Amino acid sequence: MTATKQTIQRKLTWVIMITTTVALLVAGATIIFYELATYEKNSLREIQTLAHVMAANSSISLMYDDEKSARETLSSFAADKAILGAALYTTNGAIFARYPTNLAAQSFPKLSGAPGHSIHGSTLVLFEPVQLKGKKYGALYLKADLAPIYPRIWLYAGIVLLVLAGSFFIALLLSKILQASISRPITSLVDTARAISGRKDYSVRASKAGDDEIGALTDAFNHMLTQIQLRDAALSDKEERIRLALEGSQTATWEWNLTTGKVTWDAYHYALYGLKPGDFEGTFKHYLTLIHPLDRDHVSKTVLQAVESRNDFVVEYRVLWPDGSVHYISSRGKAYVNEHGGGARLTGLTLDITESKMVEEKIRSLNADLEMRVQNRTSELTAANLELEAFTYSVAHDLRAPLRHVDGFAQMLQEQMAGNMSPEGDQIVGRIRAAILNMGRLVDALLNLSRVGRRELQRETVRVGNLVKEVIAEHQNETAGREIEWQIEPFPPIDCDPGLVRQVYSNLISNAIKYTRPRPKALIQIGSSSRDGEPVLFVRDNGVGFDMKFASKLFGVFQRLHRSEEFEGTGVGLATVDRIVRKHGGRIWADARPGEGATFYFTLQAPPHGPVPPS
Amino acid sequence: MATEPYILLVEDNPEDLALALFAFRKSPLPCRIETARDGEEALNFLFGRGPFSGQPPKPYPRFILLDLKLPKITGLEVLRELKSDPAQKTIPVIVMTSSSQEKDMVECYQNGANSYIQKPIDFQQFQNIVNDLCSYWLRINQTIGVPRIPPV
Repeated sequence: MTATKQTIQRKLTWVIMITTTVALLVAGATIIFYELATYEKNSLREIQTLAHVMAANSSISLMYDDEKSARETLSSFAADKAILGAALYTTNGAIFARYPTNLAAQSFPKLSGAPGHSIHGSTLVLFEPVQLKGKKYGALYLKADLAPIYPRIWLYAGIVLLVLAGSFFIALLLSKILQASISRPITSLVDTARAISGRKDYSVRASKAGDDEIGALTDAFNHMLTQIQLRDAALSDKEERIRLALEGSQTATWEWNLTTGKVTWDAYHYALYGLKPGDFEGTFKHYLTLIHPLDRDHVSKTVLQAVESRNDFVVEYRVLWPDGSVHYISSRGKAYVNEHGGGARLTGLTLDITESKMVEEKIRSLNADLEMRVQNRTSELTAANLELEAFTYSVAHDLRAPLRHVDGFAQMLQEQMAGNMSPEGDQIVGRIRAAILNMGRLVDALLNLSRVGRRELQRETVRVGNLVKEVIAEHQNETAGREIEWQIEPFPPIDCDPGLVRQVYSNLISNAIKYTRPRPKALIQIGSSSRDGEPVLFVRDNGVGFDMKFASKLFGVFQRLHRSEEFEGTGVGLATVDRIVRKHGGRIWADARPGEGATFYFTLQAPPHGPVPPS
Repeated sequence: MATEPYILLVEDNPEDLALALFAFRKSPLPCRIETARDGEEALNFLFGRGPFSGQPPKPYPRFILLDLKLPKITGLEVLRELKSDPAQKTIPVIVMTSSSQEKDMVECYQNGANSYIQKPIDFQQFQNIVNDLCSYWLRINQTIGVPRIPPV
């Protein structure tokens, strides 16, 4: 078992045991070394003292050259087993006496002369001068064995080992009790964590044992659990909503792992392909076989292109269900890669669009139907227009001819009968001719009205002021002998068909001249104002005016508000004006009061809010 | 056939014909009028075909007054044939019609008409037009190969 896999209890025990043992060993070793050092020092001092005493005792023997007493003195060393050998040297270096006496004189060293000691292994060699009252008589040599120290060392070591063993067990016992206060909260935390990861139950909380670091760890752990619980709740809420949204919109999800090649469908996906769960092999190849053969290439190309370019794609195709029915599918996807460019996958949504396709098809068929009807109507209208044109042509030609003839023959008659006809007869012919000319004007006016209706609008920017002045000049013969004040205001440039707008002004100015005839001094104002940013043109006179309750009849064909004896007219002029204004998309209206004049307003473009409904 | 100057009047309608002849008679510059009652007759006369076989007119009329709405061959077709003939194309052709249709006018001018006049309803106006026509085309205008009528 390696250190990292050991339980925290065992680790704590180990820590305590190793610490205790090392401390005891260091202490024991220190004591032993101290003891050894002290013992050696004491032994040396003892032997030195002994040597000193013996040297003093031997001085007399040397002074008197008494070999026997010297031998006796040395023999007292026998009491001390540690003394291995001793010798007395005379000052000239000869051995005077030796101990033990049986030891050969050769085994003693030569007198070096210098006093002092040296230690060789467990052997101590010592030279002590022999002197008396300052006079030197020789030297004492002593060889001692220090060996008796080793039994002491073994004794000390034994004691230390014994203490070590004893304290080891005590430490073991104590550690077992003490480490629990640290390891128990940790173990409890581990048990809680294990329970959570096993049961996935994030509602469990670890119990706190104290306010130390482990307590803080427990708090942090519990806080983390709360956060996880909150996030879990939010996530499952979101997941539920997405699931509901996908279900509600009948949308399925899929993913294609490009590394493994596996295509994964969600449960709803199978229904879109008419399959039972598990009927899909989970490969792109199998997916393609589910697609209508006519759409297969297109889908394959689109998807593979998206894979290559890492782009989004949307593709619509038909699928052939196992029951033979055809369904429309819309699939959209997106390619993803991780930041290292690997782990590529394609994921997206699939939607059954059969219903909308059906609706689309229906709309298309309705549109085609409508188009057909429009075409039919158009050709009917074209035919009607052609007919109308033919009619107009015939009016222009054939209706005018008899009028011409009547007028011509009436005049011929008048000339043939010149002098033979009564004044009344002349008058009658005059009336016939007037009626014919009136009829001619009517035909021409109607012809013009129909022509205006059929004519294509040719818009350009027109300087209306100039156009108005030209029109006034054209009506010179109507204003002859009249006093008329013309007030012509400046105009903005107007976008319109100048030929048609000339007709508008021609009619309105002609009317203004006509209906101011009873006025000694006529005032005719022509100008423009602006309403909602669009120019409104007007022609105002101080003529006889009219009652506004008849205003609705103003612009109808053959509608007149005055008797023709009072004011001549065809009843087609304002109808023509109305048609021209409408053709421009504009509108026309009048404001008048009997006896106080009339104002005609008109615009020449569609208002910004849309076209004017036909009246 | 006389060699004096004349006008060819192409008109199918008897009333119009009578009124035109009446107006020309009253014109201050009277001139002989030859008439053709439809397009075919006009072309036969001018090209010496049919009843006029081998007798192309000599001289050509001073001008032709041509109605557009004619039976058999229309005025426009007559105009087209005249103006595509190297000899006849120099004869002035004045189109005189009831129509005020722009389409007709454009077609006539495109096919070489020298003038286009709408018949007015007012006979007095018609008389004035006839007077002006005679005055202009007989006296003022010069025509190839035909002498002008000298001023009075």
